[in-house]
Amino acid sequence: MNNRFGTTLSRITLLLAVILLSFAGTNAADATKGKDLFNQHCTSCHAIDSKLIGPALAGVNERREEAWLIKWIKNSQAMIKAGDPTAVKLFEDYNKVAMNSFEQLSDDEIKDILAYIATGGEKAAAPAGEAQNGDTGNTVTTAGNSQKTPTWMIVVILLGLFIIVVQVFNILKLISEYTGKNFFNPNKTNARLMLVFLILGLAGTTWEFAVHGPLTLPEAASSHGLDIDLMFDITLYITGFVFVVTQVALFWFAYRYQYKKGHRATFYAHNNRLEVIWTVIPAIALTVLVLNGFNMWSSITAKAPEDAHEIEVFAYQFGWKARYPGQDKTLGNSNFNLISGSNELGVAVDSEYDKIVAEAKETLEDLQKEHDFLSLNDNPTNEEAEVIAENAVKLKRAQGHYNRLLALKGNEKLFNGAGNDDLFPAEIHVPVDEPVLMRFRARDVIHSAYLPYFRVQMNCVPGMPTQFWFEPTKTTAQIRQEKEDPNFDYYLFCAKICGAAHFNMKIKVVVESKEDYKKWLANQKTRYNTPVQANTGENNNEVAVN
Amino acid sequence: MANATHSAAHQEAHEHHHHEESFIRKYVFSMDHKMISKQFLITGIIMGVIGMIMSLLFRLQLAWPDQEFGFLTTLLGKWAPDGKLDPNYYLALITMHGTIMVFYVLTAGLSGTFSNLLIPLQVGARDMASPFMNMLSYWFFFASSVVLMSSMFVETGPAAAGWTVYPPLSALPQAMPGSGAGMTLWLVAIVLFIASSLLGGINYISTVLNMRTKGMSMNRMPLTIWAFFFTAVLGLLAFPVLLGGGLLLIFDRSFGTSFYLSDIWVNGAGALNNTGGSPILFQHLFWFLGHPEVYIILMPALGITSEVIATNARKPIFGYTAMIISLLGIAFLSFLVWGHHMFVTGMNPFLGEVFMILTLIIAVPSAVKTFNYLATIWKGNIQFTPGMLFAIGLVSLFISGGLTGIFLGNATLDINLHDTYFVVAHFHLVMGSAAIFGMLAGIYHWFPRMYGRYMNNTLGYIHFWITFASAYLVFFPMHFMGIAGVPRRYYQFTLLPEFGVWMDVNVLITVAAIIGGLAQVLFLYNFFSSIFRGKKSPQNPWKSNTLEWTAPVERIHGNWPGEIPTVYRWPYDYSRPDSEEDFIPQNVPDEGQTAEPLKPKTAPTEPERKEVPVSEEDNGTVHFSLLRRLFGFAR
Repeated sequence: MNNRFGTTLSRITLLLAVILLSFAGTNAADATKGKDLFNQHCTSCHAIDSKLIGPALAGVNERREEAWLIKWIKNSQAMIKAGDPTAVKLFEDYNKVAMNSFEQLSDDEIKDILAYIATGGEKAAAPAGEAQNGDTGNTVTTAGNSQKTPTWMIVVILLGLFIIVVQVFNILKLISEYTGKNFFNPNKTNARLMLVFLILGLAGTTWEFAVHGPLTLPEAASSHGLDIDLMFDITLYITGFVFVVTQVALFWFAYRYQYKKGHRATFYAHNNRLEVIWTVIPAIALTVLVLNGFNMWSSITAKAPEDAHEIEVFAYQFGWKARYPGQDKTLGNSNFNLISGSNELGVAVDSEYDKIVAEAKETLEDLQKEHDFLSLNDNPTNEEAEVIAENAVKLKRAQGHYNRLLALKGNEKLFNGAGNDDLFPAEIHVPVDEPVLMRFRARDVIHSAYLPYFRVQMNCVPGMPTQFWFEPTKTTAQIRQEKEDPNFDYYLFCAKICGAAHFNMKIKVVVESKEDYKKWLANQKTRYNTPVQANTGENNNEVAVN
Repeated sequence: MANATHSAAHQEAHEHHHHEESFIRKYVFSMDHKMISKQFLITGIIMGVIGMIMSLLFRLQLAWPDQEFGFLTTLLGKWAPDGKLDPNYYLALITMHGTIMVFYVLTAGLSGTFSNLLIPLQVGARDMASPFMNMLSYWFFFASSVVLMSSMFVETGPAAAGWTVYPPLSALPQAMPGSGAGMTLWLVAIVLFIASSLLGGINYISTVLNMRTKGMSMNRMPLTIWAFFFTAVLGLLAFPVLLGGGLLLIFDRSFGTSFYLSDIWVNGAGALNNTGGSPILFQHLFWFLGHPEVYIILMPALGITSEVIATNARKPIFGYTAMIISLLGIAFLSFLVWGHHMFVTGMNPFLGEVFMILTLIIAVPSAVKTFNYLATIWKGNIQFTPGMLFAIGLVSLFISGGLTGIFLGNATLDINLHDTYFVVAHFHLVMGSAAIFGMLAGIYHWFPRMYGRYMNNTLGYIHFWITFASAYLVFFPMHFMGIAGVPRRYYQFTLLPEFGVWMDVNVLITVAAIIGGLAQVLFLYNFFSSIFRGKKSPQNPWKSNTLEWTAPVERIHGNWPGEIPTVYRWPYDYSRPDSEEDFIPQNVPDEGQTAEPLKPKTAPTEPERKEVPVSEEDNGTVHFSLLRRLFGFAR
């Protein structure tokens, strides 16, 4: 198959984007920074030219004030609560799916993103989206009738073909009835078609293996993955053999033993020996597979080596966050009550604690005030009753949250200071040929961390931390060479249905040499900007955010 | 009760009675198992068409993600603005497609239709053990269908968390619009559905055990009845667990309990108060039904195939005992393998080992069944009726889909195949297409029994070949997508350069699906026009042995005008060398075999209640004869 979505096109689009970006001149300095931020934070729900989960962003700078946008991006829920009419309308138009808050982004960073959007940077943002669409891509915006015709044409043509086939059969039948000659013998025709189907089917299977086989994953990029591949191949040979033998037998028997006049079927009701044979042989084959699978599963799920690099992968609607331990080599504790716009992973850090308690208190007080006001209404209409009920639910939730937060105060086991120097890189980097232990957490619903190239998958379950350890064996550079694609990158995908942007939840994974990995890790800045030994930095977070 | 007075009326004037039935009694609130089976069938077909159209809509999205289809906006309004499906609605469509196909078409539509039609007719009973419960079973199912479809019209859209409705996604209205009112309706629909399924199942089991005609010992029952019997037992044991799981989910959603929820912070609501629950608990409860459910779907199809293949190959089914034992084995093991859906949920790896072993064992009885089918058509004299074609198609699809189960049942391989298109390919072949083929085989085969007319054969042939080819064209390439690591339930692949190479395949699949869908139009036309205009069929058109063909074509409440025929032999005496004809119906006396002398004929007007003592005699020996059957029996 010709690879029409391949590298050349994406190269061209990238080139175009670069030209565009440099042409944009004064804005460009910000826009390049904005591109990274955009890809990191926005792409799972937004595209520039088309609507995804959220609206298309092209022209957003003209549609809305910059100040409004910054406020919205930082905390859209607060604006909706405050009753901003544009915000409320937007929320309702998009089925009340709330946008994540981005309080950790500074005003400047948001301006960078907006500058990037202004350059119309979609070409660089989603090269594949454009490339795969090929020749028709550019006409999408013209919409409407010219686009609809081909689909209807296909339907009409198919329907026509259908009617023709039916009529041909009918005519054949009529002729054979009329002439009395039995040249259309349905039984014979069907028997022959069985043979035809067998041949076409086997040819099709071969074609599939020849054409689509090479498009499947290359040799695993992890040590346990190589074992899985071997196991897969063995299973494929065994089942492939059975597949061919049984399908050939089925269709051949159907053809060979078609009805013949005057012939009689053989009365053959059972044969114990035969039945024992075809019970025992599959049983033996399966025992072999089970034992192998059993051993391999035990070793894959065994405890991770002591020296494994620990990484936390955090899943949320809709994206992934990575967290690395700082110099103390220990991941800080976390608690879902501590999650906020500036502490998305809910890491137990003292400075963040005070902030979230203050926030929770404010929310609680607001809701209490609203509640007091609403309860003045003795005779609410249906709509008002709904508002009251909604307020009661929110109030209960806010009370619960606030109480739980207070209960966490002074919990030294939780706030052990290990989180203060944790790192939050935008990508996952892992060293080659060293064991990596990924710890998974989920914020809201079940997600599944899926790394197909490494043969790694594990669900991320809210309230139940999970983990998977593996040893990557191929660096990103190596796989690029192997795939002859200089732009290729490993990604971690979401494999468990989790909501609207499920299809777009990904984070880049880079495998590099041990040295490069160390260098990269050393370059990461701690978010809370606290010195390694300190866990008292109360006012430091302001510095960190900006 | 109504039932008692009803049969009293029978005693008075059996022949006369049914003419006086009102329209509503006869066609709507009917207690006649034949009418109820038609109600199940037609409701099932309608639901099937809806489910299929949904699949075509989301296939359009997958094949042409950037194309705008104006008619989608006309059809779906705000859920397809600018002619493009909304991602939330895409998920709603796949959820509803799965729910409809699994429960409404392949459980109720398949098992409900053929268990109702065939159990009384093939075991030789006047009707089900409780015709009233049978009627209730249909009307619960109908109500359930209406509730489910009504969820398409609520503001926040139908349930969208996948047909497995895993919480927290399905429990939190903030997580997706579909988890609002749509999900509530989904749960209500499923509760009603389970009630329907239990009412039906109890009836099927008691009818098979207690109401067999004279001479119809368990080892003379056709394999269809064995399959329906095991299916009913599975449903009876498994559905209540889903009911429990569903009720707890209703509590979590509506009453603030925390069975499945813990430590959640959800966008739009913040930190939730729920603590201590486990989302994995729901998965255990769900799959405790969910896996037997696969066999609840498949076993009736296999039973139908056994009957259709034996009849049309004009040969006894090969290894009758082995077929029953493997059905029993599959039924038993199906309760012990649910964990293979959960290998990568973070469940204790030790459990993964146990479930892997049990799962792979289940391949053995499945293999036995396949080989026995092959041996049955070997040296046969095959009549390619449309029913037979679909039965052969089932065997082929069952092999193709079953073999990939060996990959997925292996926990090690499942790590990389879990939740990819490989899974989609696997279950659509082995339980989706195969069961649909079984259902279609049954419809073509027993249409003359239901309506006294044939369906058009030529249309049937074309229907089969197009459907068969498109089933393979749609699902076979998906294996390769799965091996390439393409996750399922993705709205589009264009944003992930990685999966862009599969765009042609997606187009191929969608085109094949559209063609396959059009072939079903042919079937619908054939089915509905044949009801009124089909060629009249004789009483036993396929020269079959089983009892349903000894009853007259005219619809009689009570099935046989006179005495119920006595059974003298097993149902598979095809092409016996010592017989002139190539079939010997079960009610033909066998001098060599029957030890007991024939009892004198009773009067034709004998009331049906008189049979009960006969059945009770049998009933006393059921347990013993079951054991005897399983450990080697003489025929």
